[in-house]
Amino acid sequence: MDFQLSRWRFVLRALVLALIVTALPMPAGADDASQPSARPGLRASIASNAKLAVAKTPAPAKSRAQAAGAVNKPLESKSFFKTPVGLAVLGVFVAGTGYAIYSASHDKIPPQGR
Amino acid sequence: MKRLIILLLLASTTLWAGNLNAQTLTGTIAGKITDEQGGALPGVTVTLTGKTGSKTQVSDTKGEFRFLALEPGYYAIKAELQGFRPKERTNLDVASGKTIEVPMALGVGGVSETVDVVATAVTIDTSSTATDNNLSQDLLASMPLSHTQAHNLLNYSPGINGSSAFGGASDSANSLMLDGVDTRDPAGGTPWMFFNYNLIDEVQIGGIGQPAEYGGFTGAVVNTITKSGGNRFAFLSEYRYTGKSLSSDNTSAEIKALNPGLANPAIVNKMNDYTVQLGGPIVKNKLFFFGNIERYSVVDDPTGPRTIHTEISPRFNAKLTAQLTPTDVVMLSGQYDQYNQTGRTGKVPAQNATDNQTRNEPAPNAMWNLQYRKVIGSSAFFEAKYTGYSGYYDLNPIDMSPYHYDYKTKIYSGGAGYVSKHDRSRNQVNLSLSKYAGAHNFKFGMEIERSTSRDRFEYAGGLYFYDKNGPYYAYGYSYDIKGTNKRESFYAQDQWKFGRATANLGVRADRIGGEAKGASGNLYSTFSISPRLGLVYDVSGRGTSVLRAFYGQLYDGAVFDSWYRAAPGTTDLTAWEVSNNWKTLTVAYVVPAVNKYRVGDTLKHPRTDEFSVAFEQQLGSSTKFTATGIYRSAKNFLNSVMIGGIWTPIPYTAPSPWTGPPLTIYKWANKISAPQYLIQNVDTVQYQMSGGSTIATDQSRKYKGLMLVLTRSLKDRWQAQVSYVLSKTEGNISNGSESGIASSQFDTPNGILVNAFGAAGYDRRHEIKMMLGYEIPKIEVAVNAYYLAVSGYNYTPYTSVSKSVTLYTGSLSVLLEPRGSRQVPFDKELSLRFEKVFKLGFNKLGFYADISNVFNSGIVTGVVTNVVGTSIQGKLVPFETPTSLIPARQVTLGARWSF
Repeated sequence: MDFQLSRWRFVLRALVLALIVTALPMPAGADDASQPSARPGLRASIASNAKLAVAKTPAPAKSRAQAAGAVNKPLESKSFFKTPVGLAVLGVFVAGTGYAIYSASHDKIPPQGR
Repeated sequence: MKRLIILLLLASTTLWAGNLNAQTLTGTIAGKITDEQGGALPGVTVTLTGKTGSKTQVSDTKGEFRFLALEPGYYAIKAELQGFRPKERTNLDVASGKTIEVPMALGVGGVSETVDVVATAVTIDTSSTATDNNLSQDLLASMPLSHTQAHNLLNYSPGINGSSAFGGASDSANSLMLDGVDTRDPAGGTPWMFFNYNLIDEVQIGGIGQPAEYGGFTGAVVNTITKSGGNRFAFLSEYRYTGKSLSSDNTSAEIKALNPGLANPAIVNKMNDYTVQLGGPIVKNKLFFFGNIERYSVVDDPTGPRTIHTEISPRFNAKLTAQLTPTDVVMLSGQYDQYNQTGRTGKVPAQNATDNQTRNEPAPNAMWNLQYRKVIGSSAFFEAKYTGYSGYYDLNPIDMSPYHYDYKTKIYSGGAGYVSKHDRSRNQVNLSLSKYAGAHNFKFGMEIERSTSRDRFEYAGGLYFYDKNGPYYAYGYSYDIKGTNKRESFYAQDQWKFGRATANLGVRADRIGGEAKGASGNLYSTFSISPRLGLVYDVSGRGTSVLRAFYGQLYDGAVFDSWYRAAPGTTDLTAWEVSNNWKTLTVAYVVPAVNKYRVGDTLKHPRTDEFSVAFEQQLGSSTKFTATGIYRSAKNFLNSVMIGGIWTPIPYTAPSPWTGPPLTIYKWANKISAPQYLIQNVDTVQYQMSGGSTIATDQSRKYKGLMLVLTRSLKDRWQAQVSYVLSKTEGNISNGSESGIASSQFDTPNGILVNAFGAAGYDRRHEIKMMLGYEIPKIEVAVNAYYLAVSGYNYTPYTSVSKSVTLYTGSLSVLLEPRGSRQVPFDKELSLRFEKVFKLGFNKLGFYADISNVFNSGIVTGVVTNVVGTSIQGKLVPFETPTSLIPARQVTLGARWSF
């Protein structure tokens, strides 16, 4: 019974997680498409070489996309945080930070005799 | 403090006067611009663009340029000159401490722009003797590595297992640097800073052929560089989960029946780990921020009677980077973390302890780091770092009643046994400056460290009971000792190019002092000079094939544990006779603690000499092969030796079921009630025998290794690093943590004259490590694998000899065969990660599953080594019965959103 229960809890948790993570970036694609494109020559050149050079696995923050010549202009402006993706990012960051702060207070084992 | 400031000022003056430098956090891009016929082109405008903006230089009369102090990352470089076609190179991956040479030939042409984009390729350093392995952020993010503790990542590098690197002592011999500054526990040199692996920009793991700027290690150097903000907003959110339904059991029914301690295998009931991370500009090209928050929590059911162990660790990191001027950068960062644990065991061994016999551990820590970098022209670079931390960990029993151990029944009762409190702090300043002058690359620097360690200990209730089917004896003592390590280090180094060869010449000086609260002056004092000499030869002349040779002397870091026993603060040990149903205590005897240990006047700090030869060959644009031969010899061992002890050799037959031949062991011939000990170098020790003769013993630990590494960067959808290491570590001092600096091996001749020579505990003769990554076409799923095959740990049968036989103050362990005579089975483990990445605009969404120990192997990693067996939960578990296995198969699910 316990096993069944934990499995259901796990499936439920995985579904909720999948929904949250997949729902958040949905506006991102649309937002990106509306951005002005870089100069075609440079972009095409990078894209053709990227097939060889760019890791297919995700490179979270420091990626080749960050290298000069491959910048994403919308990600360089503070107005990014007024877009749906930017707002979602802020939401996730604030929620994560807030819960960690709560945990630092709530889960702290109090020192004894100090 | 005043003396510290004066030292700093003096050091700064010296450094500036001498054009000094060193760089461990940053890299360099240098190059020469020519026309297509090879003629030097002066006056070319060279623009370097990275994540924090652009910098411009003009090539000199030789056509050369050099960008110094570059943070690790990807850069683009563009060369422009009127009348020539501009040329650009992108994807230049700068690693810390490395120089990328970028030769550029400009063709004559019109004004139209031509862009050459060069794919990332493996590079070979033709200047340095160091053999490093870098774990890039890409690799960390894609491989199925254990992400619980980032400081353990060194064990994925060739030649390092169980945190023992190239024969060095496990943990305590490694320098663990965070953003270029040592962060170890000043007590024993073990890891102190726990941090999130998502924080890492790059981990550089080395140890072989290291230049003079690296000190405080006789094992490996692990230099972890953390991420910073740039002009582009970067975000990461990751969540990992595993639980009971994703756990497995790899303990066979046979082992469960033999050892009740393994009858209930460890199960991870629930693990939740999330990270949120955001970095970007506050003021474009000027001021950048980076924040990283993690909350890691786990609830597990360990082996043995315990049913619960928990850890909750929230961690907060922040970093501000200011580009004050094009040549001045200031960085301020900090971390605050808590490490809240319950269910830790104490005096009662883990396989016997019940939930009531565990302790809670609060362990908060705050770390700070202030750095300043200044580039002076195109030939000099100054760096100043101030970093430190302050924190503690306490171990508080949940049941404060005294613990009992019944000698007859071997049963433990009562609480966890003792309370301990451990405070640590570290303050360190590093200054460095480098100067390129013609064929020379000079590097000079200094480090000042002040680190403290305070340990408090007392038995719960003030004593513990040693019963014999009822009241028998009780013992009690406590301590409160505090020590301060004071270290000043200076180094000077030159990379001198002549033709295809580069000489690496360096020297390092370390003064280490140790002061204790309640004692006057330095209790511990050493001064060491360590030369580092290397030669690199570019065999092909094109940077595709190099030979390296190195000789260097390496010294351990400053640690309190090597002399802490001489620090005042320990109370007398009192023994009581117990009667009346544990109600009446009568003092039986008192062992005074005063002056039990003292430190010798002339000491040499623990040292290892290294000879290494390496050959590195580029194989195509994306593959390189490295072969490295390593010889290391440890010396200047430190330990305590009884003063004035006289010993009588006696025959000894180990108890049944051991059937080996009798041994000669040593009985204390001039027993006194309060022996004294001298902490000294023990490379040669003479023991006085009762007939007037002496027996001398010379100590050694030598490592011989051949390391073969094949590295292929990502190309055609796959990447790999495959290594094989054949090695041998042997001597009469093992390489466990602190083995060569703070054991009781020399207190009597029995620890060093009886079967002491042989294979060290961390001698892993054969080691294969593979990291393989492949992306399956069409379905675009990445499969990444980590495979480890390594010889099992060595162990030695031993027996505990009663104090009635040796007349010593307590029972002694005696090895019954030469050290390391037996091995547990070969360890073979495969871990896999399957990951599906969706790219939506600039967003990347990854969903992955990690499977550790894919085949759920039940490989034994430890056995009972006492030949008469050991008692676990009241049952006698025989010699060589398994006591530990590799962790069972575990599936961890994760999701990641990043851009």
